This record gives sequence, structure tokens and C-alpha cells, in this order.
Amino acid sequence: MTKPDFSDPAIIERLTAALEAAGVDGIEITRPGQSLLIRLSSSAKGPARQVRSGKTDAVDAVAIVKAPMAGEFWLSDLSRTGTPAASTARDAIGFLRVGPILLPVSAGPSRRLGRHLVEPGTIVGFGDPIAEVETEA
Amino acid sequence: MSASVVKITQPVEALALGRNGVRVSPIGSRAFLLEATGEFDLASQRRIWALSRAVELWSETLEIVPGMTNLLVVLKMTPEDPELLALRLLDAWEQAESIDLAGRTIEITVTYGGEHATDLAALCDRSGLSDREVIRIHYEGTYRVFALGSAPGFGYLHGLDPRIYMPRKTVPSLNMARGCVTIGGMQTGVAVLTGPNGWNSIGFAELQMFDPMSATPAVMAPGDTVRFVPASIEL
Amino acid sequence: MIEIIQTGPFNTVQDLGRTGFRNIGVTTSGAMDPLALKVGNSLLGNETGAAVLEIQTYPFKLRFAKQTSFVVTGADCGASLDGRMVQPWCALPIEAGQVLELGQPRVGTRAYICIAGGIDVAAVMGSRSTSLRGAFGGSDGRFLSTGDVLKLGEVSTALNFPATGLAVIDPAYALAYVYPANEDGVLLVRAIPAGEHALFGADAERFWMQTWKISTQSDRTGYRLMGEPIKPTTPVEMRSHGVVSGVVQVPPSGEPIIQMADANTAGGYPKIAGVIEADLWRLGQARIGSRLRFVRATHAQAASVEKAVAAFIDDVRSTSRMVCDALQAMK
Repeated sequence: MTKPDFSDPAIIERLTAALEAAGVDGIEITRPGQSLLIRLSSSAKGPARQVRSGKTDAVDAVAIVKAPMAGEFWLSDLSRTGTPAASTARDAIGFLRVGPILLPVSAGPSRRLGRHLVEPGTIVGFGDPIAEVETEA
Repeated sequence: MSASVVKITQPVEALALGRNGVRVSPIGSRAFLLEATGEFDLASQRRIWALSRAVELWSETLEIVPGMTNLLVVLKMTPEDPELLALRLLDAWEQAESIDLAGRTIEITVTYGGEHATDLAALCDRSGLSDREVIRIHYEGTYRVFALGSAPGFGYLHGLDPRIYMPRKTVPSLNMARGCVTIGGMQTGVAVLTGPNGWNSIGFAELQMFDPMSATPAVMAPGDTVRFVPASIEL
Repeated sequence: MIEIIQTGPFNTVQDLGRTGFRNIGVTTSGAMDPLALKVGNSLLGNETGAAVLEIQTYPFKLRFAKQTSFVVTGADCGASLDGRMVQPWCALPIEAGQVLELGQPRVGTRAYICIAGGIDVAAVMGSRSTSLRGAFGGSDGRFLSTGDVLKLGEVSTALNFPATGLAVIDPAYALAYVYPANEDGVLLVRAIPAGEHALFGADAERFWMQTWKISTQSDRTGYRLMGEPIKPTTPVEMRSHGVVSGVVQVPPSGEPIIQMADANTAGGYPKIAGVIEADLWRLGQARIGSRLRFVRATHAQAASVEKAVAAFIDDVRSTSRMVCDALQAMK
């Protein structure tokens, strides 16, 4: 079986349609030498799409932050609802909660949050994508 | 946890159980005070010492603090049923045989009068005795350490002659020196810290009553006999 | 080792206190907010009662001389590490030479700097707490001063904290279900009526009903309260007896005193109430000038709060280790 070429517009179109039909809001496929990201979002103006595909030797503008462990995803540390979160890392994009413990999740160096891929309160597993981050200009 | 923990509106009567001249009351959630309300004498204190020995062995006891004819028991955890605990204390009191602690005899050398005897004149005025008589009555007495407390190693000494009882001052001395030999009401003692002190000073002792680095930090222990030996009398 | 670069007065080394020596007149001492100390140590994997720095005057600055990890618990005082904001209640790994600075607290009054291995000053009578009154324990029995160098204890099984840190949910939030919320900024402190409660007659009710203000004459020894004086119906002459922190005594002025961590070991003033053990840490974080009201509690209620707090601390200890181990394994 030959590997599909993810830069082929026809394949991207078919994948996008399949995602829409399945109610999935995005997919990221990476393999040596090639990567594909399809992002769908619903708004009042109808579905919007963002597609990035290319060879990975080019620097990706968008990356996915995956859960470093299983936990409950929260945007803030829960306890300081009154005051703005003063976070350890300026690039923090949220917390994974396990019981009384909170693990800050960072965007990574020189990256900033694009958007979250999970709702606050969602339980995520190890490696689940939790946010898109963009390389800072 | 139910909301009832947070919402405490119903009145709660103070727990204070009494029986045969003793009563038990709580201080906060983990401490209970048993007080013998009868005479302030050696017989009552001997029973307190016996009770202390018994209660010290309870598995739930964190520490015990014998006071003047009373005993404070601090528990490791807050008991669910304080009445049960209070009743156990009352039972233990009833079973407490009077014991006499085989204490040491401590002789404390004192300089009576002089610069540290700031309250000797007032004591003479109150008692109608001369300064020499006040001093003689004090050093001729034999005292027992009833309890330690108030400051590290401070012993409350019982056995003061009623002729030289002297109430605590309403305005304390602000900077009484460590080592001052003092009278407070019907008790006497040696100040262990320099600082504010409401007792009446009649002399000075060099003996250091407390050393935190020692295996037995306090020189005095309950049950010890104390005698004051006049080294000099400066009048 | 750590080196104190900047400090005000009244900052000390504290652990959970010198228990067992009240009977020879030795004050227990220990952290004013023992919960912050226990949670900080549990998060770091230290002994629960390891010695920490209790900071109550600011700014405070220290330098870490070796690689280790730390957490600041208790008051939220806008801490920073080499100028970068540090989240309160968040344990972080640090490199030798990094400088931690604490500013004025935004919430609470006392911050606890907990470091892996604990502060290794010599234990005196079983405790590393500073006994200010006895002038022993802690750092030579005195306040910390600029230039002090303190050793850190050995770490047996160190936790590997991620670079982004590992936080614990603020206990004030996590345990809100067992603590009454403030009412109009008034702290509710649960207490049990004590031995002389009944002697205050009608004034006993006024003790519970009114809002008291924490006066400026308040420190680690005790809090003097300001309000409508309450008096016993007949004067009482008490025999000297042992007391514990949390006891609410009423001196002749009629304005109550709550004995705190450096409480005298013996007392003779009539006692109207005693604050429950599990509520003492909230007093330890209350500001001078702030207001409080006493709420009657039972032993059963106090015991259930105590259990919830103990379970939380255990949970912090086991989960922190589990998470650190899991992150190591997935690297």
C-alpha cells in the first residue's frame, strides 16, 4: 500500500469532509518528512477551516501541546479566582489537575497560545492534544 | 462533608463536668483542664502528681501540664466525644492515690536585700515586720516545687509562711532581672527570665534554673524540696 | 545552604513547635500557620514538620547556594525568582545562585519558605523552632538577620519537579467546604466555651455576638482584641494552670486576648473560650486591624474539620510524589 500524499488537495478535502461528518474539530498527522494539520471551528458565520500541510523540514508556525500526563484540564489554578493568575511561566497555557495537585502546562519557549483544544474540566490522557501554540514572531 | 460543619448556629452549652470537688473543662478542641477546687495544699498537689503519672500513659495524650492543684491534658487529636474524655479524667482522679514524688533537695544561695530587692520595703510595710524578720522567715522555710511553668524552668514553690504573703503587683516591674527571688501571693520562686514581672523581689540568686542544651533543661522538678541559704544580707 | 540577603525584623525559623515541655515552662512556638508549613513540606516530599522560614515582615530576599527545590506557601506576597514572578503554592526546581524575593502580601500576612530537606539548624529540645522568649532554637534563638547563612537538610528521596513547577491548590480554596466563609470581611473563628464561660453571665452572649478587632498589640505571643469589654459577674481568683494556644482569656480590662504560637505556658486569667485547633492557622494569617467573630463549635465538629485537613495533607504528599514519578517515567 502506498502512503497518501498529505499535500494533495484532494486528500485534504476528503479528510476534512470526514472530520466534519464525524463532528471532530481537528486533526494533526505527522510522519517523517511530512505533516498535516486540519482545524475546523464553528461560528455564526458558518464553519471555518484552517489547513496547514507541508514538509517538516520547514519550521511549523503552529504546534500542538500535548498533555504531559493524565489529568483534568483547567485554565487557571482554581484558587485565585479573584486575582489575575500570576504564573510561574509567562507562557503557561493551563493546568492539569490531579487531586490537590496542579501541573502547569507551558507553551514552550518563544511560543504563545493559539487556542485551547479542550474545554476546562475535561479529563485528558497522556499525549492528548490540549492546545495549539504559535511561534512568536 | 455535610454543610452542618460550616453552619454552626445552635447554642452549645459549655462542657464543664464536676464531681467531688474537681471539675473538668475544655480549652479549645484538644486540651482539657482538671481542677481540684478544694484546698491549695500539698495533699491536693500529691493527687495531681499521681493523676499526671496515670494520664501521661494514655495513648491519646500528647502532653500533660501539671499546674497548681490542676492538670492540663493536651491530646494528639480532637476527641469526638469530650464528655467521655472528661468522665475518664474524673475517674482517673478518683483512682489517683496520693503520691509523694521523691524529689531532690535543692539549695539556692541568695543575696537578700541589695539592689535587686526592689519590693522588700513594701513587704515590710504590709507585714509589719522588719526587713531582717521578713528575710529570716523566708530562708527558714522549706518549700516544695508544686509545678513548673510561666517561663522556662520556673518553679512555683509552695510552703511560704503566711506572715510574708504578698499579692502580685498591679503594675508589674518592667525589667526584673533573671535570678530575682520573688514572692507572688502565697508562693515564692526565682525569676528565670529578665523582663516584666508582677512578683515582689526580696533578693537575688546566681543559680541558673534552665539550660536548653542540657538533657534535663530545668533544674527544678515537681516534688523537689527547695531551701534558700543566705549568702549575704545587704540592708 | 541559603543566605539571607534582605530581611526585616520578626522573621524566624519555625517547625511545628517544641511539644512536651510546657510542663517545665517552655513555650511551644512553631509556625503561626501550621497548615501552610505542612502543605509546603508535603508538596516537597519533606518530613511534614520540617523547619521552614516564617516571614512576616517584607521585603525579604535570599540566595540559594545550591541546586534544590522550594515552595512559598501561606500569604500570597508576589514572590519572584531572579525577577520572574513565582506562583504561590507552586514548588519549583532551582539552580545554585538564584535569588528569591518576597514583597508585601496581597492576601494573608505570613509566608512560609519551604525548601527541600528543610532548614537544618540545630534541634534544641526536639525542635528547630525559634523560642524568642527563651532565646534558643532556630537561628541562635533570634530573628533572622541579613548575612545569616543557614544549612539545608539532606534529602533522602528527592522529587524531580518539572521546570514549570508543581502547584498545590490553595488550601483556603480546597478546604472551603469545611471552613465558614468570611461575612462582610469578618473572619469567623470557631471556638468552644471554656471553664469560666458561665461566669460572664449576659456578657458571654456579647462575646459571641460582637465583632472584635485585632489590635496593634498583637504578635506571635497573642492577639489583643478590641471591642465592647466583657466582664465576669464576680471577680475570680484562678490558680495558675497550663494553657494552650487558642485559649481566649479575659484580663481585667475586659478585652480578650487569644494566646498564639508563642503563648505563655501558664495562665490565671478567666477563660471564656478556646479556638479549635483546625482554625488556628486562619488566625495566623489574619491581619492586625482586621475583624473577627467567634462562632460556637462542638468537639465533634472540630474533629471532623481536623480529619478533612489531615486527609488533604496526606493527599498532597502522595499525589505530589505520584505526579513527579509519572513525569519522570514519561520523559
